[in-house]
Amino acid sequence: MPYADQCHVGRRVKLALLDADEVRQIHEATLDVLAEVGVTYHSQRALDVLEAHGASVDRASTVAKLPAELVEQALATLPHEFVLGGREPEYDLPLDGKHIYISSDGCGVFRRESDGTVRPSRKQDLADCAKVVQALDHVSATSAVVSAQDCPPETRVLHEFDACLRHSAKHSIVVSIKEDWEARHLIRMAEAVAGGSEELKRRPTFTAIICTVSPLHQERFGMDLAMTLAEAGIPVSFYPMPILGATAPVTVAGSAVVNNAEFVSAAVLVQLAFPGAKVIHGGGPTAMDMTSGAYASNAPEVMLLRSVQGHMADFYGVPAWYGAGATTAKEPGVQSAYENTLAMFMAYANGADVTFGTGLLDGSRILCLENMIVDDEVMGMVKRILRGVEVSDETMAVDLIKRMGFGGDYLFDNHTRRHVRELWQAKLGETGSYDTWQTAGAKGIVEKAQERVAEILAAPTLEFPEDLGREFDAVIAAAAR
Amino acid sequence: MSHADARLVGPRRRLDILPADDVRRIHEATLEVLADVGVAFHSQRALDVLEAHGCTVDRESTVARIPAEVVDRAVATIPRMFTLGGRTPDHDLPVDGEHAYLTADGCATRVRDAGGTVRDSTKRDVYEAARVTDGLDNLSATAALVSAQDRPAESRVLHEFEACLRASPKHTVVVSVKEDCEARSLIRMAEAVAGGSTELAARPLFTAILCTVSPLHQERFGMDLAFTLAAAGIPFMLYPMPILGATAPVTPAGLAVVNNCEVLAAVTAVQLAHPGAKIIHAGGPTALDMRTGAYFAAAPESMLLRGVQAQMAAYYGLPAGLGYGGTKAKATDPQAAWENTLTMLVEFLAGADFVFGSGLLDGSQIMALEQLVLDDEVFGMVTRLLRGVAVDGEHLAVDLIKRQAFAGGYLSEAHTRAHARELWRARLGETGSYEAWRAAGAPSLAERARSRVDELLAVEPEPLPDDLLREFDAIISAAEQAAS
Repeated sequence: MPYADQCHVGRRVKLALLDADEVRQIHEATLDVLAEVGVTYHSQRALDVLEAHGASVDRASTVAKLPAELVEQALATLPHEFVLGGREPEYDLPLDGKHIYISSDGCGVFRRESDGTVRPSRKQDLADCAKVVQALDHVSATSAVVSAQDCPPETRVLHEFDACLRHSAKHSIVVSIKEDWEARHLIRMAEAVAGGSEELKRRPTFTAIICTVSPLHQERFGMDLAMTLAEAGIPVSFYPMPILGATAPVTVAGSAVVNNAEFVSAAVLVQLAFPGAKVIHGGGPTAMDMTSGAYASNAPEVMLLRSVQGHMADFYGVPAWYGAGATTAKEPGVQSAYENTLAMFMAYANGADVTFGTGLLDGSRILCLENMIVDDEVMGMVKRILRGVEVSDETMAVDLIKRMGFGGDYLFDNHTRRHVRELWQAKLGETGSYDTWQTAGAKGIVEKAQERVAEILAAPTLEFPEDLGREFDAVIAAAAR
Repeated sequence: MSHADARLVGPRRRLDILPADDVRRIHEATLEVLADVGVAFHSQRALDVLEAHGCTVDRESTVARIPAEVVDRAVATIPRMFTLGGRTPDHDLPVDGEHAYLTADGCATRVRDAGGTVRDSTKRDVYEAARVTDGLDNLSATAALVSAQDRPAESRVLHEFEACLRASPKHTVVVSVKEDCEARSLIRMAEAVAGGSTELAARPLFTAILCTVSPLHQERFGMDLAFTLAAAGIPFMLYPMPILGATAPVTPAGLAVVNNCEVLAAVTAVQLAHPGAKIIHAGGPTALDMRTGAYFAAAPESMLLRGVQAQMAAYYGLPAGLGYGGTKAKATDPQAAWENTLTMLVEFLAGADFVFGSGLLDGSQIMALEQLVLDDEVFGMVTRLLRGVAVDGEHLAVDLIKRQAFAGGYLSEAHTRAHARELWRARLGETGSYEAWRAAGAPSLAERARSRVDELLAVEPEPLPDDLLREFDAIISAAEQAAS
């Protein structure tokens, strides 16, 4: 059974948060802003492409204004479905609206040890995280979850990718590329995994997240990279991160317009340069806590904003990929559980294909592997809920209900035996009695999660082909020179 | 601002669990079972009513078969909206589809103290739980979270109600009423507060929960109580508790049929006897953990089923009051958080008017006051989610976006000032920096919840008038004497 079958939710229970008219209003407001104000592209290459296709470009301010027809024409070439390749084909992830995935998060800088100590992150932490991802049923992709701060800055991104690929056969997400040459080295490593450039296009081993800058800016490296990656067939998730009330309007609908304008302007550019390039509607908006000034990515307004984005992605027919697990909690516990649960459910019920991700605390700064064990359990429940309730003669079982009448003997009926294995089962949560739990040592959930992490880390790593290892080493060594 | 104003969510965008066609299929399957198999009503009074209105009744087996047209006639008299009364009018709760309420849970027998010790519950615990419920803005009704086991069995439910009323002016949910005489005493106490029977019927001070028995039974006391309560204008939740694969089919759609049969059968008997009686479509289905044999209210299938019930309630135009909580967690911990959060979110998004209840652990067997504080925080977030996203000129703010263009100066805009106060704010969760949290002694959320509990318990409530307290005492002693 391919891994992705576990992530299949089918038609999916959806939340009708916006109606078609509201989606259209946000789209039209986006077109209005793109045509009248435009977006700054701090990349000459991007401005060249846009100008050649009829955008009005001001070289001095780097602003390109995009007429509505140009936008519509570019969006028409967006692919609606594609596959994210695993290191091994059994871990390929179809993005087709019928599957949902969570990856590990990205860009943290600390690691929380199981004893609660917090220290700067290093390459080994990425390896540990990748091992945990590999072992968990409901976490589908690795990522540069924290920075490999013990590696040289110029090859760090390659070391991060190396750690993920050596310790997991799943797809990987690359977050912190900045330079075009980094992208080219990564592509070489990925080609080695996939078996050539054509194979890589078909089954791209990694996805890149490219942040835009709110309000309405596209960075030079972001746009240059997007074009390099598009050419190699690597999917790109454009990831606006507006802050409600600071770099975008404080109202959710207003921030949705800014978020959408940044996504659309980036998507238009790559589609004009490389029609059919794989683009994902992303975003990690935050709200500001007006008392502490801290950013919160799990405030309910932000969850609503990401939900709106899910409906916009659906409108454009592109996969949707949002931040979801960036709890502001400081330790694995009650707050991280409720924040991530709300964020995950809202994202997927509003159309997300992927959320990014799990494993970080303190607003995506501190890696905590125990939290991934918790999120994995919740993700399993979320999937079961989204699969909904099948209504058929077999499942309504009216004849059985009539036959049973007023007696409660369903347990021993064939119908129960036929379907009982469909029931969800807890892996981490307690389901027994209080007394059994007491007798078993009254273990806390975090303690149980720690034990699971220890067990995973103690197990041998999945085999990694030696020749591939040598090739990775060579690419990294070449980059270091 | 009244309590209900803060609980207004407006017309809600719903979670689409079952398509409209499937809702109709569940309804049709329900009618088929009610007509062909019927329901056992262990109450002569109920059977009299049903027989008089055209049902086929077998007195020996107590089974009434209910034809579809009788169900239709009964459903037509269900009131679409009504108000749950507070002890004071500013705590009234309109049940109109546009408000969302969370109440305390009920019926546990043990208490988990601040130190983690578990012990048997007393009347003092009922009072303290109601005090904490009273102090939490997002909780709308008290309930006897635990049983007053230090009071005589025959007057226990009255003691519990008295403790709730003394502790809080909020509406009360009464769970453990079993006998008709208990219901009559409760009504007398409520009339004393409301100022008479007409006033009580207009603003009923409590809601009762009446459980049905799966599969397809209505208990004698349940039905008799329903008639007594309906006559006094007291709303009640009809609360089937089928178990997947044990007392109902293991497939969720099949359980939805059994659940709906039990609700509709009770609705029919009550509406025929008292047209316009205030009924809430309720239920607490559970799954069976096949390894441990334990019931599991927080399994995803149970959550989905409660969501389906909200859809069935909407189909009949009934308010939906759903079971919630019932976490299997043994402490206020991540499991309690994820289970309660998910179930709350699914049920309210599916259309629940209120959800019962908060504050219990271990499958509703152990009370933990911290849990009320935690659920209050999460429900604040859920409430914001239920309000959804306003899409109009003011909220799209296109002119503002054009004016700001490439500058991130939104913070100083009048538009930001005008709408910043609408933003949700954490009361319990950490929002500051890691360093600030360490400096504060790195408190866990459960510890912070406990501090909040202690703060709330330190506040003394407005005392009830002496004559009312004397009247309560008189009713309770009369009930105790009548029993002995």
